[in-house]
Amino acid sequence: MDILEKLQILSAAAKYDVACTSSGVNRQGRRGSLGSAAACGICHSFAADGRCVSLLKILQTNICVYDCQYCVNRSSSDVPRAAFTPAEIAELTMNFYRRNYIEGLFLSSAVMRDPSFTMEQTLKTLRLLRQEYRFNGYIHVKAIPGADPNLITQVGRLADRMSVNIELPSEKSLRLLAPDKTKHSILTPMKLLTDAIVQAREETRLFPGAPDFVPAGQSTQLIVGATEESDKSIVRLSEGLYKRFGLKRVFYSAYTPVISGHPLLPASKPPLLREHRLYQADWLLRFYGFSASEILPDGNENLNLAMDPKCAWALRNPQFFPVEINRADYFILLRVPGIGERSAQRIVNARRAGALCFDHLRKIGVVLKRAQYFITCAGKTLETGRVPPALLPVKLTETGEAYQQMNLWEDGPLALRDEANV
Amino acid sequence: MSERKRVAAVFDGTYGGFLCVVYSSYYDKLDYAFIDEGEVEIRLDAEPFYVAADRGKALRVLTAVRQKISPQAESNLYHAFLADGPRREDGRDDSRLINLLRYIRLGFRVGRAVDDYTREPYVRSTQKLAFAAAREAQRLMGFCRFTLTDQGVYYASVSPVHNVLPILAEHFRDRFMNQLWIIHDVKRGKAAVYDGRDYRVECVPPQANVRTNVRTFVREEERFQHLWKAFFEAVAVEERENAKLQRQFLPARYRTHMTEFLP
Repeated sequence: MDILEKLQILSAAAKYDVACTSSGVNRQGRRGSLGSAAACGICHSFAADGRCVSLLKILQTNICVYDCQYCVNRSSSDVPRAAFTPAEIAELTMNFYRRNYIEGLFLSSAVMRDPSFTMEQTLKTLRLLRQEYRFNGYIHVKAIPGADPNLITQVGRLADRMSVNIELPSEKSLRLLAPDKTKHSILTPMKLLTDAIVQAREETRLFPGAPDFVPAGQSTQLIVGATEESDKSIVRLSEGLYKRFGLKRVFYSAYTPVISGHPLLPASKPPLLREHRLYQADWLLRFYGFSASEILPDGNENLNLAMDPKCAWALRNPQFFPVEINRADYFILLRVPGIGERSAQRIVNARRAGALCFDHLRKIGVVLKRAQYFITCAGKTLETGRVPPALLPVKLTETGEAYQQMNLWEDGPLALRDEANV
Repeated sequence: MSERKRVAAVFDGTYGGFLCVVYSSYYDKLDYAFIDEGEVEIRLDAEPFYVAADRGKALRVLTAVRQKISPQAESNLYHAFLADGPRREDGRDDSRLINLLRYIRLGFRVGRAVDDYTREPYVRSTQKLAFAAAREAQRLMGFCRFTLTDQGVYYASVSPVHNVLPILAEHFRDRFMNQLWIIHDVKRGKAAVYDGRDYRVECVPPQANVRTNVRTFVREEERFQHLWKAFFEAVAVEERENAKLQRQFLPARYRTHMTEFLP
């Protein structure tokens, strides 16, 4: 099989993995080696689905001993199989990088033979790239649950980011659809990575020049809509992962049917809108100071698809409003629907130079479409913002094109945002 | 017309030259009404004042901006200078440079708070232009594509809206330290040429047929272009096709130079 055919098979097999960010680590170029890394990440292209292409995202192999039902590469699936040699991957990465096609490599793998054997292949590839080819660009690799911890640690010394996919958000679903995986087998390597990252950070702080370990941190991904978990259990899980495991990102992937006529799996289109709402909730967790129980309190099992989760929160908490633009602190401003990080920052800056009125807000680029119902400027409400509370839900419901076509899908620009201080 | 004739600063069009205009606005005590790039200019509405570029003065201004205003202001200054702002009928810069001068002068008065004065139109427009240029530079760091020529040089052509070539050159000097490369701004007829140590910016007359000359492919080059296109197609998920989103992030104007969008 020639390399073109392998590339087609093994990139198509990897495409359902969402993470393609190249952010989180700043590394200058070095004489004698190739490449650098930018903390904000760099998008190199955008594929026909509008997703950012930043890394050469491929599987080492799609030959798999596992039979996870949701996965296109499960052993019972009838797809063409291929495996890259470490040298082939290194050659592709180097040549793509030199032409500025990519920011680096995203290497995942099906489980060939057993987890440790698979991890060893990854390690060989990384050693070749980092040590022989002196590749200094970004590398993201998957840790394979069940692999020898020693191997995972060695890979972590060479990679910028590592991730272990949770895939299904509960033990029950795993048992049902991924009989070879357990919650324990997934959380163990995550914990291992978390501890090693914390330790390395401490060491490099005390002894500058000490070897790095996964400097861009750890991420994970879970599939949404393949099983019946509620949004609440997903958002709670994410909150736990951010807080207890110090993860950089949790990615959500709307389940795309890869098998027809399965008794346990939906055959419908991927739930893109739900995925979008989960990303919004995720943003609220990471940047806006919300907790999972605020986003989905008791009695609310799922996110409202018709409006963003911050609007939904605001409607449940009318006592919080109106917020006075000239006095409220940054984190209070962030809670106003329609005011994001950038707007909140602009407001905080601009009001230092004098009191703000609505006209100023518009001029500095704060969009009032939704915010107008929740704010006052110097004690005044905007004319159009005076709406009886009963009408508010109607005003805040997203309708029309934006709502249906999902052009707001959040995963695109993520590599553009500054993640350095996340 | 006012009693006193207004004055137009004329400088050489370089960044250093512009910094000297800032210098001159203080030390020559001139309240410039216009700033013009280039050579002799005949204006009916203002007296020209020629500002000579001077490395020492330029550096003094730059240090002062960084220390007395803020690093953010220094960055805004640089990016807004490289930006392509509104133009007059004769193609000359309209308000970008004069706004930039006012922004810096306000900065020397109020310090780092200058970026809070967003209610001043000239502050806003400077910030906006700086942002636009920085964004385009950031985009092209990802979007520009190199082609390996038979002389062993990696060649990229771009046609950016803003003059971001220097920013790109800085980025790739670090990233591609160990390979020879040329980034050619086709629109402005300029190219950054990296010789393995540093780069210099050269003028490339439009009639010089660099593109076809340089683009003599080596066989290996064709192979990797082919592989890249194959990867690019394979990585999209059909069920999620979304051309509008793709266009939003990757506007059509960039695609003419990108391997994966060429036939």
